[in-house]
Order: sequence, then structure tokens, then C-alpha cells
Amino acid sequence: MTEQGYVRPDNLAGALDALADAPEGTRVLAGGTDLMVHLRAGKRFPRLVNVARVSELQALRVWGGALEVGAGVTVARLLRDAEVRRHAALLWQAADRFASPLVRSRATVGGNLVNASPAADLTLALLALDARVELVSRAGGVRSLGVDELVLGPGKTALGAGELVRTVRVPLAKPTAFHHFEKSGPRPALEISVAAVAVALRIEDGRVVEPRIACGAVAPVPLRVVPAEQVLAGRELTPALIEEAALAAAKVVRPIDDVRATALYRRRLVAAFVRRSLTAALDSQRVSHATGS
Amino acid sequence: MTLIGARIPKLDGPGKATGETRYLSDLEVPGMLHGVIRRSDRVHARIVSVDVSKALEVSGVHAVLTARDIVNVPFGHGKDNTPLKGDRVRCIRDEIAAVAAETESAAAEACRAIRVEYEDLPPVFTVEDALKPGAPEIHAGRAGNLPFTYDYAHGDVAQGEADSAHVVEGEFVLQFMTHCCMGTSAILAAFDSEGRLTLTSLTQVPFLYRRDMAAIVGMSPEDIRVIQPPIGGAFGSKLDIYPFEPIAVHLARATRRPVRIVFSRHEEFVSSPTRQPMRVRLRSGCDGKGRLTFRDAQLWLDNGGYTSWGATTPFVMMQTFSSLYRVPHARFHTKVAYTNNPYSGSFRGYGNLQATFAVESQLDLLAEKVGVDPLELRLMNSQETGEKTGQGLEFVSCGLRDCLESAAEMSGWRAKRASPALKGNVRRGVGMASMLHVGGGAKIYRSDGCGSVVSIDDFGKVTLVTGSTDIGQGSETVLAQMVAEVLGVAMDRVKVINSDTDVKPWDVGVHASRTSYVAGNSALLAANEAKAKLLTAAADLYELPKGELSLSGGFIMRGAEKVDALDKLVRTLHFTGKGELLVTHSYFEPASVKQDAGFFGNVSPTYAFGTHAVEVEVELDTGQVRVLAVSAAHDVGKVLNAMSLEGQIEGGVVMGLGYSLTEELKIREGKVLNPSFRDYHLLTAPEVPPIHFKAIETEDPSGPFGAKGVGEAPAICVAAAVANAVHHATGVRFTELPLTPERVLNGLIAAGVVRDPLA
Amino acid sequence: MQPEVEIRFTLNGRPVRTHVPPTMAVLEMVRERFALTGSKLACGEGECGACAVLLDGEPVLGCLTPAVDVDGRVLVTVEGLRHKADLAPLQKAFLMEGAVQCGFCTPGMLVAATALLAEHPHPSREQVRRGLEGNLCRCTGYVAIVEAVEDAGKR
Ligand SMILES: Cc1cc2nc3c(=O)[nH]c(=O)nc-3n(C[C@H](O)[C@H](O)[C@H](O)COP(=O)(O)OP(=O)(O)OC[C@H]3O[C@@H](n4cnc5c(N)ncnc54)[C@H](O)[C@@H]3O)c2cc1C
Ligand code: FES
Ligand code: FES
Repeated sequence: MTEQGYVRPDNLAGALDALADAPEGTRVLAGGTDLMVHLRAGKRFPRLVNVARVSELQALRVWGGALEVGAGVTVARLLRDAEVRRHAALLWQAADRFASPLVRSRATVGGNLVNASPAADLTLALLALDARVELVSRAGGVRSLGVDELVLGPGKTALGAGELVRTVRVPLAKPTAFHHFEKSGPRPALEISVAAVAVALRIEDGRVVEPRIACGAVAPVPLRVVPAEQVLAGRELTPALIEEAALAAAKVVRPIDDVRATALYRRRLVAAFVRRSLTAALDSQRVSHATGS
Repeated sequence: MTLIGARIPKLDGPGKATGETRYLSDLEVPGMLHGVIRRSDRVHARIVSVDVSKALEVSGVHAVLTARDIVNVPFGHGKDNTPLKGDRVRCIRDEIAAVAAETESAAAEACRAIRVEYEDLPPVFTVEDALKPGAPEIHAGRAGNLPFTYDYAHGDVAQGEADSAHVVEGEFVLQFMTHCCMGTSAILAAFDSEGRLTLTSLTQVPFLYRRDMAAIVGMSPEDIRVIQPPIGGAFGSKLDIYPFEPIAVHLARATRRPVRIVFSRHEEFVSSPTRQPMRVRLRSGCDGKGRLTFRDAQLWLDNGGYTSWGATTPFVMMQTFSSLYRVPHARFHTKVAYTNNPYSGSFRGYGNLQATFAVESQLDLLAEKVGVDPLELRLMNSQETGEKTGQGLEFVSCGLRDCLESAAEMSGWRAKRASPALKGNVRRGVGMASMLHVGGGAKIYRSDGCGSVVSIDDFGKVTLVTGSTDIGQGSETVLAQMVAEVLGVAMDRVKVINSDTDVKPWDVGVHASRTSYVAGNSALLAANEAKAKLLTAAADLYELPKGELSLSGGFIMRGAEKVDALDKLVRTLHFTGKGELLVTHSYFEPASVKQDAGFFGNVSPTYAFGTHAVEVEVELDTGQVRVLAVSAAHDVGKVLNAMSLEGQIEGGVVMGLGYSLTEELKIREGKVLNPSFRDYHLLTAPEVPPIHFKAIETEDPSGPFGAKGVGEAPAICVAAAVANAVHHATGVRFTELPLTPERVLNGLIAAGVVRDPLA
Repeated sequence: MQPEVEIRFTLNGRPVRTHVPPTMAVLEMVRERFALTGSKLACGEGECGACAVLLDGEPVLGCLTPAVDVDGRVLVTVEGLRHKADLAPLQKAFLMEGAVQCGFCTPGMLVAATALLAEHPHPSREQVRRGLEGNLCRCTGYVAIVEAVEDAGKR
């Protein structure tokens, strides 16, 4: 534990200062649900910048046509927030399937992104929602990346030296939007995904518009399955089309065997989850037809 | 009777609900050092050298021990284990060195600083490989890696085959499972100035432990005192001595300071005993109507690197093969072979989950062949009170038929069985299975007894000193209830002392579901004697006919009339001329016998029966099995404490569900792949289905108030019932546990029940 | 050694202060600095909930929450749940329903349930089950625990 720097800035400027001249390997400490596990296991970092008191990371509001989510917003806050449920149902669903109340009260959006786990559930939803991540640093000011530009591999991000994640901007869902999140396991939560699927699309004039399908825990990063999206775009949802999309998704993912499941099973899960999600979309359409809305 | 059968909260509950109860990991004593063990990272290797010089330099370190520094006495059921390993490691958890330091982190750092040089030896990971001619020998002098075989038979299996209209045959593979006590393994060893050793230990068998420990650390048993603090779960895991325990003693001796060792969760997963894994080949037959004709079982048990109680589970398993339902002919053969895998100990059910999985799966297969409902087949073969089985087990009370019918009724069996339900992506089905287990101990030692002392002080407070041990299951409350009932006092007038071998009388320990029965009978004897003493004294004092006196509400009563207060009477006894203390003692030895060399004999004075009916739902696209409801009927003899009984049942059922669905300690090439709660899936609250329970009261003539032991029973037949239900739902028979979604989906695809979504 | 950080906070209703290393977890702080051993270390990885405590009323993991983060805030451990000399209704419900066996999980269960009842005073069974999804118990099968929390919610 020697020579480990520790800073607890009171605001964003302080945090950026602490990061600006920081030694390599410096880490931001947010909720600690990832980092503290490493610290308890004996891992050490040259400097920790505890951002618990940085209020600029706590935004959660609808602003400029987007839902603005501060990096320090916890999963529990997402779940309690009516705007999140209305404008980004997919993010809310991912939050609902996330760990346990004890973890949700501390785990943050920024931590989920930067931890860059292939199984990160919020990151998966944000990818499907086409969210933009805003990074700031003292030297470089603000820059904005897509989730797939930020997350590069297991534990690897495009975060530059001195940078931190300030906010995530999620486009507001249109009235025609359909969101669906599927995650493996018998438990509602407390499960690291063996596979997860996040689907965001719109159905307009009976046709699928701008489908985005993201798959978790089946590639080094949360992965958009573009061929499956292409199958759907501009077409009418039918059981046959759903099968085609499910198979296309299962084909492009690149899962591995590990202690939790084999690659083959993960592929099968992807097919099942894409099918379930799209079938739910089809059902929701039927319901809205039936009720005439 | 007033207290018997009531819902009485646990005596030790308040301290646990306020956080004030101190477990071993919460105890610190002055001068205490922390012990940490350096374990092997090889599964089979010669130890070339151990260099501890760097460890000794770590600040705060008081001792570093290796095999060279101690007298390494072999111990355990196979006398093949030693506290520290000197020349060779045989499995991943092997203890090579140990450090005592002022803080746990210093001890851990020192452990990491120890340099071990190994020379790998050829490993063996399966029983099949271990038994091959020319296989690497894991223990010198134990040729063929075969430490044990068990053979049992009654009747004539060939005759049984000849009598059969239907025969089914199959192989069942059972996994490593681990106890996951929420409190990890721990011990505190402290010597006093006279060289006496006090062990604050989580053991379930304090007296045997003291005797065995004495031999290992070179002391006389009478110089060892075992104190049993509140414990964070046991479930059988603390039935044996494991190396960390004598290691703590050696560290305490070397440092002349108290030394405590507490396992980390990772260490607990890697280094504590498991449920015995095995492969079971079973053939079962029945006649044209469905009456059982024979069972022929062959088992291969992976003993791991050393022998603990896991190797002795055949002793329990053969009872299920021979005596669960009427079986005229039965044969049982088991080989137990050394490998370089982790080794197994005892675990709630003691092999019976494994045996029952095979037996009850095949009962369903036979029912299918005969074309009868599985319930009918079971009823047809059910035993009754008064029967003696081929193995010599005597069922002085047997509620199996009631259990079968009650479980069926609670589950809505007949309607649900008629048609497995289909609904889109899910299929539903019901399945059932029964169990048989000892219900009053098992005479595996010369004695299976328990001593008790009851005393009543001059304020009328009753103290029961019992030899038995409470491992969280609530036995002390049940014992207090029995004593309170006999002496006619309120629960809060009874105190139970059960945690100090310097004080309490001999007992075998907690195992074989024996505590309620054996310790209960023992406490009753002493309490009844105390009662007789009181009544005699009152009769003499007040010149009343003894036969008309009774005890109730803290008074000596004659009908509805109070003769004297209990405390007053005791004071009179104490302080009169002849002065007499109100202390009685008893020793209860159950009427069971030690089995002969062929394993015949009535090993327990009574037996527990039960049936579970389970309803499941199987998702066809993911293979996920969800249990919707469990209906459990158990022959408990007599309900003593409805609340603690339900707690045992529910906990046992859920443990059984974990075994069925999610729990597996994954071992590959001798190494543990999932040593964390993240990857070892215990069930959580939202996964637990409704559990319907019915107690069948057969009032065993020899049980305390008619009760028998059921501590292990509820975990035993869950897996078979789940697998039978999955078969009912999908038509696919699974013979390997746990029923993970991946395994089930593979099975569904292989059987053509669902199409491979990728094809 | 890294410099220790001074923190002041309210612990079970009392203002306290102490110095902690910046990476120390709340769990070790309450156990070692304040001798409150009710909160248990059963995994140290966030997976079991035996270490749960309330931070400004929210349930958090003692093992993964840095002690410095309680600075200026209100911390309640299982020892702070009782109402003066008497047990809290939830604690009584645990005893009356048989929700305590070995008791090792009990402190964390009580803390998680207290937080749940604060948010949903009359929770449904499903809400209770979800509220306890981060707490492992090996003894009870959860049935009695869920009943106890439901029961406390009915009072
Ligand atoms: C029991 C348990 C269950 C879990 N279950 C799930 C689950 O179901 N789904 C899931 O997705 N995850 C799960 N996780 C993982 C974890 O909770 C999440 O990844 C969480 O979102 C991390 O957030 P945090 O604030 O706690 O991160 P921290 O541990 O504080 O940080 C994580 C990483 O992000 C960096 N970081 C944090 N904030 C910023 C910032 N603003 N700018 C730059 N870098 C930053 C840190 O430096 C660190 O590298 C689980 C963890 C545990 C312990
Ligand atoms: S000890 Fe904190 S979650 Fe297990
Ligand atoms: S009561 Fe033992 S772990 Fe819950």
C-alpha cells in the first residue's frame, strides 16, 4: 500500500487537476463495486481519485433533446427515475436486471462503461440506445464518443490520460420505439451475464425502423450485430423474419468457452434472446393494433 | 402436553438478530496471532525444497512452520493425511507451510514470500485412470490406488433378474458440491501456563475430535478442552479433523501465543471438503405388475488425494439401494480410488442424495415400462410399519405410504400428471421421489450414546448440560422444550449448556440426524428422573400420595391445587438437615446395533421417510429449468417444534434444489475453476419456489415424545424428483447433475425435442 | 504506509470520528475501529450481502464501500437497528417466524430488509424476494426470512 496517492476532490475542476498530472495507472474511484474487489485482492494503483463528492457527475435530467446521465449516477437512481423509465426504457430494464440492491446503490454508469467488461449490462443498453459518452480532461476539454468507440476490449477503453467520463447523453425514445432487454439466468439479477441482448427499434407504418441490437458477453466488447439489424431494417416483422434475424445475430457474435458456459451455448442463447425480443416487439404491435392506439 | 409441537423461537435468536452473537471470526483474545497457510499450486508433485527465509523477514511474523519443524503424525479415516506436507503434494489444497503473524495481512504476505520448488509427478484425475494397471501410485504402499471397497448383498440378484418382466439400466454422474457455510472454517488454539490446550473449534464431534487431535499433536486427550462457539453453518462439513486444525496447534505451540486461523472465502472453496462425487451404474427390475425384483449397483467414488468421510458414504448409500421400497434381491459394489482431485467429507445426506437420484430415477423408468403411474408403482412397493428389510433395518414406525399420498395430494399430482402442460416456449411437468435415512443416529462406533445432566437450582431455574452440539439447527431449543415440558416450567426457565467438553458429558456428535432422537431421549431420562425426585420429595414432605402429584406452571400440583412452588421445594431440599441437590444425570444408548462385516444389522433405532413432488417448467429455447413448487411430506415421528422443523425442511429442500439445478464445484485437472459465489451458484431468494410441507406423525415408540431425526432428510430426494419432473415435462431423462440450462438444452436438442437454433 | 484520512460521521445515532487508510472498507472500519462485529465478512466480493450496512438509509456493501465515503453521512449497522432497549419489529418478526438459524447471514438480511421496508412499507412477496436478492443464506432456504419481512410490513 505504500506510495499510493489518494485524492478526494470536491468538484470536477479538482478531479481534473488530480488526473492531469497523475502517474500512469491512476484510477478514478466511483462506486467501487469493481475497483474495491481488486483493492481487497491486493491490487494497488499509484493514485486513486475518489469522485464521490464531485456533484458535476450527478446530473440526471432531460436536456437538449436527450436524457443526460451523469457518470456518477448509480443504478439505484436510474431505477427510481421516472424520466429514465419513460425515455430510455431499455436502460431501465438493464438496471432492473443488474446485481442486487446492495450493489445497485453504489454501482455507477461511468464505472460500468470504463470497467469495460464484455458482460456490462448498462453499457450494452447504452450501445443499443446509440448513446454518446462525454469525456473531459483539463488539457483537452470535452470530446464525445459512441459507446463502441469508447469500449475497446476487456478492461480497455479509449479514455486518454487525464480524462474522465462526465456524462452520457441518451437520445429520447420516440413514441414508436420498442425496447427489450434479455439476460441469462434463473435469477432476476445477481448474475454476471452468460449472454445478454439489448434491442431498440421503432415500428413505423408496420415496418422496422433503425433497429439496434447489441449482444453482451459474447465478444471482447458489447457487440452490435449489424447483419441482424440489416435483416430487419425496413421490413415487416414476421415470425420468419424474426428467425432470420436471430440466426444472423448468432452467426456474427464471437463468444468463448469459459467456466460459466461454452461458446456454443452462448450462440444459442443469442438466437433465443433475439427471437424473444423481436417476438415481444411483434406482440406489442398486435396489442397496439388491438387497442387501436 | 403444551410445549411439544408448538412454534417456539430459538433460544439463541435474540443475540443473532441484534448482531451481538460473537462467532469465531469475531473473537479476539489478548496476544492472539493470525495463522495463514501456504498451499500447493500443483496437483501432484514432489516437493524439492521450501525456502522460508524471505517469509521470516516480513515484519510482524512470529513463526513459519514447514513439515520439517513438526512431528507430522498421519491422521484421518485412511491415516493418509498429515498436517503439513513434506515430500509430496497430492492435491491442490495441500498444506506446505504455515505462518503466524501479528496481522492477517502480514501472515499472508509472508506466505506469498515462501519459495517452493516442485518436480511434477504424473497426475491422475479420474477413478478409471486411477484403477488402470500401471497408473501412477498416489500413496506409496497403497497399491492400485484403491483404499477401499464395499460389498453388500441380500437375496440373489440372478434370481431377481429371472423374476423380472422389465429391467432398466443406466449410469448416473454426480458432481462435486461444496457446503458454502456462510461462516468459513476457523479455529483458535491457545495453551495455558500448565500446557493445557483450549481449542475454540467449529467441530460437530467435540469428544472424538479431542481424542483424535490429541494423537495428532502428541498430547493426552484430557489436556485438551474443546469450546464450541456459535457457528455459521456446518451441514456435515465439520465432522472430521482437517489439516488446518492441528496446524493452528503447532503454530500456537511454536509461538507460545494464541493463534487463530480463519479461511478466506476463496480458501473455503478450494480447501474445504466437498460432497462425494461419483459414478453410479444401476440395474433395477420389476415384475409385470411393477413389483420390484432386484437392484444391482456398482459405484466408483473419487477419493481425491486423501481420505476423509466422503469415502465412507457407501455405508449410508447401500441402505437406500437395499431398503428404499421392498427389494427382494440387492447387490452393491463400490470402489473408492485415490486421484489428484480435492477430497470429500461428510455433507448433509451423506451419499444419500447421490444414491436416491439413481434409485428414484429408475423407479420412474420402470413405471413407464410397466405403464403405471409412478405414484402407483411407488405405493405398490412401499414399506409398512413393522417390516424388516433385507439388510436388517427394522422399521418400527414407517410413514412412507402416507408421505407418498400426501405429497401427491399437495402437488395436485393426478391432474397434473395426466397431461404435461405445453405453453409456447415452456413445458411443465411434475415428478416425485422418496427417501429413507437413519432417523436416530447410526451405530458406527461402539457407542452411539449421549449423556445429560439436569439440575434445578434453588431459584427453580433448570439447567440442562447436554453432550450434544448445536450447529445452528436449533437443537438446544428443542432439548430445552422437552425438559421444560417434563418439569412443567416455562421455556425461559431452562438454560442449555452444550459447548464445553470440560463441562459436558460424552456424546458422539452431530451426524446421522441423531441429535433430537439420541440427545432428546437422554435429556428426557434425566428430566424424568428429576421429576420423580421432586414428586417423591413433595409427597414425603406434605404426606401426599405421590401418584396424585404432577408438575405444572412451576408448581407441584395435586389436581388443580398448588402444593408447593418448585423453587421453594428445591430450597427445602437443599437446606434441610440431610441436604440434597436436585441434580440428575443420564446416559442414553439407542437400541441400534453395529453392523457386521457384511453390513447387515439394524444400524439405527428408527428411520426417517419422506416424499417430494416437484413441479417444474422448462424453457425450450434456453434450457432453463424453473421449479414452480415443491410438496414435501416427511415422516418426522412427532413434531417437537413446528417452527424449527419447518426451518430444517425448507433449508434442506433449497439445498437439494441447488444440488439439482445450479451447484457444482467445477474441477478440471485437479484445480477448482469456480472458487467464488460469483461462479458457484447458490440459489437466492427470488429463485425459491413455494414449499408445501406436511409432517406425518407416526409417533415412533422409541423416540422422545415419538419424534425421529430429520435434519438430513429434506435434502435427499429433491434431485430425483426434479429430474423426474423434467422428464415428465420434456420426455428427456437427465442422469447427470446439476441440470444447468446448457446441459438441459443440449439434451433437448440431442433428443430432438427442440431444433438447434443454429442449424 | 499511506496517510490516513480523518472522517466524521454519525454511527448508529452517535457522532463519531476516526482515521482510516483511504482504501479501507466500511466493513473493516466498523469491525476494527468500533468493535461492531455484527456485520460479517463472508466473501469480500459483493456477492453475499453479509456485510450490508445502511448509508444515508440506502443499503450498501460494507466490504466494497470505501470507509472515506461515509464522511459527513449517516451510517447504521445491524447493531443500530434496535429501538432503544427493545428489538425493532423486523427483528422480532425474524425471531417469531424462525428466520434465524445459524445467524451468520442475519445481520445483512436485516439491513437489506430494513431498507426495503423504508422504501416499500407494505411490500408484496415479490418485492421482498427481489429486495433480498443480494443476500445469501445457506440454512433457511429463505422462506422464513421472506415471511418475516412480509410480516413486519403488515404491522
Ligand atoms: C456482486 C456484483 C454484481 C455485479 N453485477 C453486475 C451486473 O449484473 N451487471 C453489470 O454490468 N455489472 C455488474 N457488476 C460490476 C459493477 O458493479 C459495475 O461494473 C459497476 O457499474 C461499476 O461501477 P462503480 O461505480 O462501482 O465502478 P468503480 O469500481 O468505482 O470503477 C470501475 C472502473 O471504472 C473507472 N471509472 C469509474 N468512474 C469513472 C469515470 N467517471 N471516469 C473514468 N473512469 C471511471 C474506474 O477507474 C474503474 O476502472 C457487479 C459487481 C458486483 C460486485
Ligand atoms: S462480504 Fe460483502 S458481500 Fe460478501
Ligand atoms: S441462517 Fe445460516 S446462513 Fe442464513
